[in-house]
Amino acid sequence: MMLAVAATCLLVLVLVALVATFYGRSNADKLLGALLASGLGMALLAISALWLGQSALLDVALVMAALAVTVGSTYAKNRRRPEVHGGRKNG
Amino acid sequence: MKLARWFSVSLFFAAWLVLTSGNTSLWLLGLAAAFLAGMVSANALPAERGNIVWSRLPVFLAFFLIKSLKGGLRVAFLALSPQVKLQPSVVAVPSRLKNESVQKLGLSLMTLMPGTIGVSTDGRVLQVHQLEDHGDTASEVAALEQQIIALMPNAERDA
Repeated sequence: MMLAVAATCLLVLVLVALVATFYGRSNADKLLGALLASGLGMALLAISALWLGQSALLDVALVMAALAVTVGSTYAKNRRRPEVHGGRKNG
Repeated sequence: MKLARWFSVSLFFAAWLVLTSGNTSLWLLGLAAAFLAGMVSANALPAERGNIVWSRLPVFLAFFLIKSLKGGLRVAFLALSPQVKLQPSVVAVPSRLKNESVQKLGLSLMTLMPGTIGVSTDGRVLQVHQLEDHGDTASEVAALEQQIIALMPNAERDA
């Protein structure tokens, strides 16, 4: 019963995160929404694996975790840094 | 819903089936997850119209497989040869591809082909590692780039 309640709460949170993904103003907002949804989705899959007794869902959650790290770091690496004008300010 | 979006949903669902070892009791959950992932993917990365000429894909795949097979045989010959014939070096090859993303795709494909490794690009020139100096590496890279351009006409650098 507890697992079902937790899974339902997580499902609602995933849907909220997906709304943020769809309506994010910038690419960074969308990506953060997607990463939040994937993190919550992993938790949902892990709890569902316990609830339904399907260990295969844990495999999906693990792959999602690996992909989320890759996506986040790739976006951060490729994002253009704003140019600094006027040099560094001392003091 | 566009064809490309259905295609991505199909790919996500296929990945789900692979990860769950084809567990039939979870396919409905997988279908829902694949649909959501496809929607998010289409929203975050809308497909550019006319970017890929799908009818060229079989030719591209055949080219890639044949080149991979040839490269594999060449490396096997080098490995089994009683005399060491290796002459590893890095060659610089000017690229016809437009931007670094497509050039990195080309470098990755070269890395997948036995005997060559795509090392880096500065936006104009590709650095490619070869196992032996047979003098064909530049023409092989050019042939691969030609196939990529045939598959993605927008990928060619403007003259």
